[in-house]
Amino acid sequence: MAKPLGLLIDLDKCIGCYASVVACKQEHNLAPHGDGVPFVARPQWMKVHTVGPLGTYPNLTMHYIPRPCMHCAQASCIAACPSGAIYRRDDGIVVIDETKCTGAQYCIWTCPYGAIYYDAENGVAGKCDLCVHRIDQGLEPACVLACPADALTFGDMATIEKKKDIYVIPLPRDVKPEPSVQYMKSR
Amino acid sequence: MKRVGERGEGKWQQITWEEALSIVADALKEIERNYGARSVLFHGGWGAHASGFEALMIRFASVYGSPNYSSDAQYCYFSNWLAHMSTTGIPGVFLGAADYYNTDYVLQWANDLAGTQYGPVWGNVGYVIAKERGAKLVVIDPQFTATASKADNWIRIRPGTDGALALGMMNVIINEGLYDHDLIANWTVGFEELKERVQDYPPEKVEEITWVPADQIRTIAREYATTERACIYPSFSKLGHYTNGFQAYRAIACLIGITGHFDKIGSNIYTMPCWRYGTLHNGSAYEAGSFKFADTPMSTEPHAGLNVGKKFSLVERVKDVESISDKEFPYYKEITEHVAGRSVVDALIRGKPYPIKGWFEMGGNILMWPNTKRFLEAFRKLDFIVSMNLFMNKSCEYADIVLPACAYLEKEAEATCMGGRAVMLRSRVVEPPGENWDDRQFLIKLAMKMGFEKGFPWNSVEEEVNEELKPTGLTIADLKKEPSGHVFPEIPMEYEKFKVTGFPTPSKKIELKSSLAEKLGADPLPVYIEPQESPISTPGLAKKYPLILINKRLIVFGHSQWKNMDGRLPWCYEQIPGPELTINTKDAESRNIKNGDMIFVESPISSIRIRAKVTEGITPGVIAMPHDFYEANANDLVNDEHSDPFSGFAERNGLLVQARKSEV
Repeated sequence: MAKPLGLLIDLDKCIGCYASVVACKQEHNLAPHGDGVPFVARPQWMKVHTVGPLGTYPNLTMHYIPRPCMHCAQASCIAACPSGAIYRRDDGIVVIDETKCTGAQYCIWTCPYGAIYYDAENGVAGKCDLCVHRIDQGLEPACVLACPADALTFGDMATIEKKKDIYVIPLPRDVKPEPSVQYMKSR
Repeated sequence: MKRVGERGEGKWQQITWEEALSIVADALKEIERNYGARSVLFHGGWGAHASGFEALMIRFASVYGSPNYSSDAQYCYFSNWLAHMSTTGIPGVFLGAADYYNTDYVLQWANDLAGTQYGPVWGNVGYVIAKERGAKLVVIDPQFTATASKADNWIRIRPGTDGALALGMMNVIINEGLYDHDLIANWTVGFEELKERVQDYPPEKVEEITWVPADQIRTIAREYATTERACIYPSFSKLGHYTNGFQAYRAIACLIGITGHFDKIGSNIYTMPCWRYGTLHNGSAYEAGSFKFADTPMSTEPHAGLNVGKKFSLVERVKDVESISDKEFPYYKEITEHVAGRSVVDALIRGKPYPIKGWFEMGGNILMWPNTKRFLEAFRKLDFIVSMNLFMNKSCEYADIVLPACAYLEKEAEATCMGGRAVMLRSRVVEPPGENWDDRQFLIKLAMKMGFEKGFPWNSVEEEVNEELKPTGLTIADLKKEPSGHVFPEIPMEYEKFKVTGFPTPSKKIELKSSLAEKLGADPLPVYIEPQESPISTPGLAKKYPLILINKRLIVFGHSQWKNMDGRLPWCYEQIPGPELTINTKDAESRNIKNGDMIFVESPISSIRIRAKVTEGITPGVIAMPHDFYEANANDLVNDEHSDPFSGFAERNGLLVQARKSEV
C-alpha cells in the first residue's frame, strides 16, 4: 500500500457547526432525512456528535466529534460483505462498489463505528468515501473545505504532524480496526 | 398576492405587480390623507442589513414623509452601540473587535462566538487563533456554551447582573491601583467620580448580586488588568436584552477604558482589519464615501459614519415631523435614524404618542415582537399591511398585500464591501423563480408610481447602484470587469491614534462620566440597576415564577429567518432536535422533569410547551431556550411593558418564569 490517506481531526477546534455535514450531503447528493426518521438511520455520511456537558460544575467538559467513515486498516465491513462490494484502495480509502452491493446490510451491522447507512431507495449501503472523486482530481474532501474552524486536516496519516494527544473513540468490543481517521485534543 | 378573506384566514388572490403597486400606492396616499404620512411604520428585517436596501427604504419613508423606520437592529447591537458612543464616541460593535490574533487574555463576555453563526470574518473562530498562541480564554455566561467548552475558565453568572460584575472588577482594579495611570490622567473625564461610585461594589457584595464568587471576581479583575495584551469581547446584543442593558454595556466600556486595553496590539481595537474600509451597504458609501469614513475611524465629528448614511437616506426631509420615538428616545432616534422597539410597541398597542395605521415591512417577522399575542391583536387591526418577504411567514399571513422578494443569489448588481477592502459586485447566480422582485426594484417602481421622481430619479436598480458607487469612483461596468472585486490598497494598522486626534466625544476624552448618557436621561456614571423582573427586584413574583429565562442561539440558523418556513432548510433542521429548553439537573429533579420530557414554561404573560434538555451546562435557577420557533415562541412570554429606558430594548432576557412537566 502506498500510503494511508485519512483525516486528522482536532477536537479542540471543532465547534459543532455541522458545516461539514451539510457540505457532505451536498457533495454526495444525500436527501434530508425528513421528520420521524431515527437519528441512527439518517443517511449522513458525516455526522457530528455532541458529547457532554459531562461532569459537574466547575469541572465540565463538552466535545463535538465529527464522525465520518474511519477507513480502517482492519475493516470489518470488507470481511462481512457477502458480495465483495467493499474494498480498500491502494491509498487506504475504503469504498463501496454500489454496482456489486446487494443490500445485505452485514457491513452496517459489523461496523464498530456505525458509519455505514442503508439507502432504502436504491437498496444499497452507503458511507463516506473521503470524496475519492475529488481526491483523484487532487482536491480535498468536501468536509475539509467547508470547516470554518480548520479542525479537519486531510493527508497521509503516516507523515501528518500530530501535535496533540491522540484521542481514541472507545469501542464496545475488543476490536482493533486501526482507523485512518484519527482525533487529537489537548484537553 | 392580495388578501381576499379575513386577516390570517389564508385566502389569497394572485395579482400582477402593476396591480400590487397601485394598491400599495393608493393605500399609502389614503393613510397620508386621513392621518398623515407619519402614521405608516416602515420596518426592515434582517434582509435590510444584509441586502443593502435599508438606506433606500429609509429614503423612501423620508420622501413619503414618515420618520418612523424601525429595523431588527432595535434588539441587535444598538444598545451596545449607544453605550460605547456615550463612553468613547466610537460605536460598540467596532470597539467590540478583539484583536484575537495578538492577544494573551480573552474575556469572552456573554458572547458565544463558537456557537453562533458569524463566519471567520467576524472572528467566530478567533478564539482558536488566540488559543493556539497560548492565550487564556475566560467565558462569562450563564450557559455552558460551545465557546465555554473551549475555555480555560467558565464563570457562571446570574442573568442580567453583568453590569455589577464589571463594576466589581473596576472596584478591584481601581482600589489596587491596577489601572492605566497615564491614560486616566490625560485621556479620561470623571475618574474621581467613578472611583467613588465603584466603592458601592466591593467583590463580596457583587458576589451576592451576580452569584460569582468574590475571589473569582478578584482573580479575573487582576488577570485582565495586568496582562499586557488583554481584550474583552462582549456580545453585540445579548446584554441589551436586559432592562439594564445600556448601563451594563457602559460599565464594560468603562472597564476597557480604565485599563487602557484598547487600540493597542492584542487588545480591543477600533476596527478589525476588515472593517477599516467601512461598509458600502446602508448607503454609507454615498457622498463622503465609506473609504473616507473608514480611513478616519478617529474622526472628531461624532457619528461620522452615520451622518454619511444620512445624506443618502434623506432623513433631513422629515426632521420636523415628530417620530414615535421623539419623546421617549430622542437621542436614540437622532443617532440611529431608527425608532426604538419600545416606541413601536407603544404606538401600535397603546396609540402612544400617536397611533400607527399602516405597516410597510420588507423582511422581518412579527414573531419577534415582545408579547407576540398581544402585538398580533393590535397588528391585525391596522388599516393596511404590506409585507415583502422571502417566505410566507407570520407577518405575511396577516398582510393585505404579500410581495415575493428575491434572495441574494437572485439579485443582479449588489455592490458590497462588507468585510474587506475590496468593493465587489454580487451578480445573479440563478434567475428569480416565479415573479420574485429585487427589493430595490420594488422601492424604485413604487416611488415612480407615487410620483417621487425627485427623490428617486432612477429608472432601474443599476442606475441607483451607480449613484451609490459614485464616491468610490467606480461603476457597475467597472466592477463587472473585476469579478473578484476592486481591491483598494491596504491601510496599515495604526495603534493609539487617539493620541493625535482625541476621542470623538464632546470632551475629546473617554467619558467615564458621560455627557451623552446624561442627555439620554441615564446616570452619567455606570451603575447597576436590578432587572425589572428578578428575584431581588420582584421577590413576590419570583416566588411564583422562580426561574430566570434567557435565550440561546442555534448554530445552524442565521438568526431566526430559516426557522419559520416551509421545509425549514431541511439539511440544517435535521441537525437539531427542534425547539428545546435547557434546564439544570437540580431544577429538573425538583420538578420531576426528565431529559426529553415535554414541559410547560409559564410567565405572567403566557405559556408555551417545549421539550426539556436536562444538563449541568446551565446555571441553577436559569433556563434557556432558542427564540422564534413558531411552535414555541419565547417572545410570547415577554412583558411588552418592560424595557430598557435608554435603548427601548424589550426584556427578552432575564424574565421570570416557572416550568412544570406537561402531562400530555
